[in-house]
Amino acid sequence: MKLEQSNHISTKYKQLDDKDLVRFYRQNGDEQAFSELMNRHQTKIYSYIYSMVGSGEIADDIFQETFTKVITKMDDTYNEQGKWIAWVMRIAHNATIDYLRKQKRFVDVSSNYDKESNTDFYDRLPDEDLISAQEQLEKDEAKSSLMKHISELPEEQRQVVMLRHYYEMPFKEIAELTDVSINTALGRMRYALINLRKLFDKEKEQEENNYAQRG
Amino acid sequence: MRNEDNDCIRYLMKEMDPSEELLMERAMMEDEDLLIEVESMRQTLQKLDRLPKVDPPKEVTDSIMEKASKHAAETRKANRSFKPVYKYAVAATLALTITAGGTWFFMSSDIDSKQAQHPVATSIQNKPVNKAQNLKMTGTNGNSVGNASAKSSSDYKVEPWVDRNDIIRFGGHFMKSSSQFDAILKSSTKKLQLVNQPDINSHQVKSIQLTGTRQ
Repeated sequence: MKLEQSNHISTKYKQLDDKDLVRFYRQNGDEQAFSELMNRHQTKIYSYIYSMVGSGEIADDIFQETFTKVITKMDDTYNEQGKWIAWVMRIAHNATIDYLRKQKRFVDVSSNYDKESNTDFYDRLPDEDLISAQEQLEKDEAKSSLMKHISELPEEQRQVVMLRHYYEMPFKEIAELTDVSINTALGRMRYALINLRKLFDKEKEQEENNYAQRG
Repeated sequence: MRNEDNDCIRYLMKEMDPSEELLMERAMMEDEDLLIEVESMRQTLQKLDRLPKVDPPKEVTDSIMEKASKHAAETRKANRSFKPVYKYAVAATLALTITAGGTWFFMSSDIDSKQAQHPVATSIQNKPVNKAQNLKMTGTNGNSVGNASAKSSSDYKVEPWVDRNDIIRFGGHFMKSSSQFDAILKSSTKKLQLVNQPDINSHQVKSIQLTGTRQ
């Protein structure tokens, strides 16, 4: 849902780039500039968080935490040389990962597949939170199978897929953000696609079986 | 993990150089398994395009905007209390004060030193004003008054003296009346002597030349 204020934001703000909007907000306390920034980027940031945690309620909290940090830390820690959105995405990513680590949703499998052990998400330990998240996702028809499969990916693989999809980050930046080498980031993407393919194949197989049983 | 394993991802994600792309396409034409793997990954990747874009709920964005507005108000308040224009005004006032103070200090010390060395320095130069005025005044060499700085202004007696350029000079303090000055002028005039051999005689007007020297 876009901000209602967007209706009132003048075209002047819509034509400005992020850098100018950030400057307006920081120097002049221009609320409309911040509102325009929110309107531009809130969907992809929220979508990323949501796809990572699989829960609307938690995504709301992390999204709010992210932007509270953005508002309070912008004067101190944001360097105008860099892209504002990259800085915000980093905050959102770190907040999401912090949450996931606290929840200990997944066992750490990254070291396994990084060492060519071919361990994938099927070796994950079962997680009740994840099951409830899956149940929640299954209720939502629009995000049914794909979101379910995405939520089943190991955290590290999901990160790369989401950072690439929602933030459209090059792998160099993904590697920097996740603190791994480019080859590791590329490898995680590759395994994510392989695992997703397996999940889709499995789902297709089940549907065919169900159809055969009905027949 | 071998770097070659990631070539499929780099190719699909368009993170290859044109030359690398060409080599990859050539390799796919030669290796059917590689071609199948790339196409399979491409299909899975295309499914990711269906990932939903989720907007944050309105109450969340409203809450964030409220915080942003509060922060903006604080910024505006801070700007109002000490606007940049005031900074310049303060800087200009400070600079002006320092300059004025410095000038006053310099001038007062200069006057003091001048008063200490040459309380009053006046000269009557012997340059002719025009051709009609051929009254030439020169001082008498050796009639120096000397330095009277150590004396007080009350018992100080001003005596004219002649410098090496035959210019009559006198100096001293004049507290109240100009009678002292007139007296000095009178005594200076007494030192004037007639020039025996005037060097300016190219005109018709009779002239008198006085000098302070004993020529």
